[in-house]
Amino acid sequence: MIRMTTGNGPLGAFLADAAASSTAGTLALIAGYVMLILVGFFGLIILVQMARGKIDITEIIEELDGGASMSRFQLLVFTFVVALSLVMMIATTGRLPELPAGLLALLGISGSTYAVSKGIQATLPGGASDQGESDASHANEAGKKSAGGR
Amino acid sequence: MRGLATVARWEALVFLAGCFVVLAWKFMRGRNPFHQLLSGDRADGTVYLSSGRIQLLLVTTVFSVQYVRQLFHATGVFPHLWAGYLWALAGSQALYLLGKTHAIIFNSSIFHRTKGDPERRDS
Repeated sequence: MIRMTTGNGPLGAFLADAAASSTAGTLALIAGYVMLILVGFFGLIILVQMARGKIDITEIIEELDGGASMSRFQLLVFTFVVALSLVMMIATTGRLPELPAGLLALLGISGSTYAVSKGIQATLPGGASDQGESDASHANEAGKKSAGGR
Repeated sequence: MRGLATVARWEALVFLAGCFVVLAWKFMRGRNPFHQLLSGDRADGTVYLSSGRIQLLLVTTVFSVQYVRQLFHATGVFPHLWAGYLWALAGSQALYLLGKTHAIIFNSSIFHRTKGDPERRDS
């Protein structure tokens, strides 16, 4: 589990840190908190914009025809899993950990499946489509029409 | 500096949790985002229930739950990913891609073979 210094809250933690620091240390500390506030503010803006629909994530796993993409869904799940593990490791150890090869392999397998999936679609008449799996059928239909017109 | 690190950890966790909550909320409020998640496409535009997608969904779910479960028991190190898990995942992906290739190029699913479109592209 995550070990936290709780009880005082952010302001208490700041005051305790400031009391234990020298002048230069206090300056560095203030700069650190300013950066944290700034990053937190940006994060908050992103969350609010996502919630309000300004950053549209409703079609994050969908293709243009409305069908869901299995590759995208899997990549989304694995991204959350890896992000969660990274945050928890940093929270536990207090430093940036080295990513294990297995975790990189996990993302690599998932990502390359997505890429190969796109490559399969590119074999269809109409060429490579960047629009997702379900567009394969549309690309094929377009290819047939094009061939028939010649 | 300990307080700074504590605030940073909470900030990262809150942001990650916030992303997850917003995503889940959007999914629940909007139209079903998992529409046709288990449906594969054929070259003629028809869809079929894809066994490749079903097994991939199962493997992905089991793998993710297992990893997160290990993560909550881990102490300062990333959970060990057993090579067998990765091979199983890779095999699952290969099956999915094989089924997709077959359905798109040969206009039929591997497990539910149908009469192909006479105008289909032979490659």
